[in-house]
Amino acid sequence: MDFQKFMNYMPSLLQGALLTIELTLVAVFFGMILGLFLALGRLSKNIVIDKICWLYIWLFRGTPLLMQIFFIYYALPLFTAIKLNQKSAAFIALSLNSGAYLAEIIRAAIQSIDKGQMEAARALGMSYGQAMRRIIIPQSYRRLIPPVGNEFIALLKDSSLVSVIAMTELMRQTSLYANSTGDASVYIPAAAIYLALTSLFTLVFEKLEKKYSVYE
Amino acid sequence: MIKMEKVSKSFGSLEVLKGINFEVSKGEVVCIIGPSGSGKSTLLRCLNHLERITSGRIFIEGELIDERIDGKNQLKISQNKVSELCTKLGMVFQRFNLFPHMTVLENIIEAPVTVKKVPKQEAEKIAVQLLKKVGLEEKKDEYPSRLSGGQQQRVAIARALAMQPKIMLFDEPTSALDPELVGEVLEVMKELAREGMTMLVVTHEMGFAREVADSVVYMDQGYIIEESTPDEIFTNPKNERTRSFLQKVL
Repeated sequence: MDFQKFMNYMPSLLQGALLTIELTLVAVFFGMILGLFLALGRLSKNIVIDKICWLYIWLFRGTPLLMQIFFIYYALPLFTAIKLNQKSAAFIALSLNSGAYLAEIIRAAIQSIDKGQMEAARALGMSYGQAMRRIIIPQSYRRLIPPVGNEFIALLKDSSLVSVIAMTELMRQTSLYANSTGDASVYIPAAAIYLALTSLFTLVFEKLEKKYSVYE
Repeated sequence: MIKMEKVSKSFGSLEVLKGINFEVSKGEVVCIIGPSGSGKSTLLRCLNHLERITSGRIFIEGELIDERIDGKNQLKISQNKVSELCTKLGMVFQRFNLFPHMTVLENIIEAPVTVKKVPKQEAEKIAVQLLKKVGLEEKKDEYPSRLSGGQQQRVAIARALAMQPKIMLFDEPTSALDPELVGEVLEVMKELAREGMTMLVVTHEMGFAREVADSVVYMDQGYIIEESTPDEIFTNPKNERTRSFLQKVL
């Protein structure tokens, strides 16, 4: 490998990688918050809330992420007053999408907690909200970590889709370089960066899982 | 202390309690015995609203805490008030149901701090006293998974007592324990009874019922078949069904 060439593309690839990480972290963060509310909604006794949350998840899991990105960036301004710049559109599309997946992950984790836990909390006089907050949700953390890790890594790679609205994350930086120089070998170091990132975050999630296993 | 009037409970088309009339007075220890599926646990769980009755009325210390007719709520008081009244009842479960992500001490102070807003330090002081009482003071910083079943159940008793209940409900508290661990839990329960706690105990421990109970209730197929002193029921049961049940278990 030619060192001069390496020095040429590496700064822009790393810059792209940084944006990829940023997109992933933001999307998972807001996705978790959204997902938690959707999951609680799905578990709610109120049928209307349950159905609304179900509809949301059905919609966002049932259509391609690429289409959602296009829709939010190009179609939304056509029939609403919402006009987003590329960056916000990208962040919002990824967050809304991951929220749907994370909702089902969170719901499954909550439902996997022994029913006796809710009963014990209620018998001690705790309200449903207190029991959820203090007893049920904290216990679901450890069970959440492996599937959330999966989702995180899937999202890290899927974030490459926002390159279609000209977000210069790792994928787009790479193809820009390849197109302008005609040198497609740059995809190899780009793939290596993706691999390094997914390996790193896999490790982080394994550590987290250990940390939350202390009481078992 | 506890009064049930014509209480019925159905799960779908299955009626598990059929017009129960039942009373427990202050300081009394009442044991409920009977075959599985007779409605014993359901009766207990209806008292603190883990199950809602289908019809009938329930009073705790003279205050109405549930009234339903054909599944429809007739209660005029707020949900908060109901929750408050329910904290007069402490419950111990067959499978302990300790919170696994909290240490023994945290398990005990959780409800006083979260529900009653007792300052943490004060709650801890009370918790340590309760742990002394059940003989597990040195285990306060352990997680439940590190304790034996008998120890877990004693912690569960301490946890229920931390809310200073007026009545303790025990739902087959020794059924999930290895035989050699049953004694330590029964010992704690006997101590509570001696102190004058009002207790309602669903149990298969006939020895305990005989020794500790003021009155024993025999339930079968959703009915209270017989209620009497332990001496009376164990030596001279009036009802044929009680007799055949006791022949099988004694």
